Amino acid sequence: MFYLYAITESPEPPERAGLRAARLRAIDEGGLVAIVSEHADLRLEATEDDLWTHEEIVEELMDRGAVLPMRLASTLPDEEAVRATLRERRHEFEAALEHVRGAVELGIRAVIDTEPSDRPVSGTAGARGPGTAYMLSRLERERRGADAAARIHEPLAELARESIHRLGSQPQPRLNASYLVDRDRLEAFRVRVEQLSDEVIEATIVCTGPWPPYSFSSPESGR
Amino acid sequence: MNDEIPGRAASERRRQVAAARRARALERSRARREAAAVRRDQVLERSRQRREASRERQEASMERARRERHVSLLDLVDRLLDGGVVIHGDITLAVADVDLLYVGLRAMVASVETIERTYGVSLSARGASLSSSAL
Repeated sequence: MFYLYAITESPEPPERAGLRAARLRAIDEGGLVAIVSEHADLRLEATEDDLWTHEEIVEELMDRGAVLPMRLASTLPDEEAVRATLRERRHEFEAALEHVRGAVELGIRAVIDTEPSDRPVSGTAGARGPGTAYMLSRLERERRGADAAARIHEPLAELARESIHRLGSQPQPRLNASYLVDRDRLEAFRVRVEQLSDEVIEATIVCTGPWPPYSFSSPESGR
Repeated sequence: MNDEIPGRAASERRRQVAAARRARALERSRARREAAAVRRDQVLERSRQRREASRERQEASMERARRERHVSLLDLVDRLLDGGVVIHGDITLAVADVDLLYVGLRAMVASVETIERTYGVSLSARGASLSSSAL
């Protein structure tokens, strides 16, 4: 069985071992290269070590050129199946490689503190009963959460080639977003995040990365 | 009168000038000592402030590093399970050597955060298990 780490264009595998210390191989099918390791029997565990091994290998490839990371636990039965996949989906993979070339992914998580008590909803609570008051305060909280999330997301999206974002509301309003950022705008992006941390005082913002472009590698991923 | 004892007046003037010079010198030296003391206090205060700021920065950066390490792992899990290129074929993932979960990882792990919150398990910790009673 072949475990796949990434699809790239560099015909040399990284000089390190893969999962379970297996040798890394590069399967080159007309310029599209799958980085794989072969296993007689692979029980992949969702342990930190396995996750980071996968990640580190993709990161090494990312330093050399455009790379499409595979989702965790992607396996194919044999080398021919790997080659067939590269052949059959060549157009999709080539377009995706062009799309992410020269860019990296940055992650933003923001938790927004919207204390419900700090601004009662215009004194309507008594008049309309506690149920209405609860709904109004909840709506107000969500509105303020969405507002803060937009003030964080929009300026960052302007610096990015592409972005995806999700809003959550439980237990607190939150923003979870990914940005595909040109390498030469990485510093500008980080500086903007620092500024936003000061500007949007109700939010706690954490930026992670640079990641390989997990969220921008295929039409299905992350959207 | 004026020229009665010419030497004495001159000598008196010289004495006065010398005394004034001495007084000025003393005053300057006192001012220098005071300025030095003020500078020393300022330096000490600045160094105390620097130490304080550095301690605060260090604490803030440790807190940030802790938070970022946690979030990095969460981000990694999210990306590895929900992002990346998907190929056809069975995806098999053993969680903690206990459960084998067959594909539909995307459906299963709509959000790692949801699972962590709902079931109280940590997917990121070594040996984490999804076979908690809640499942």
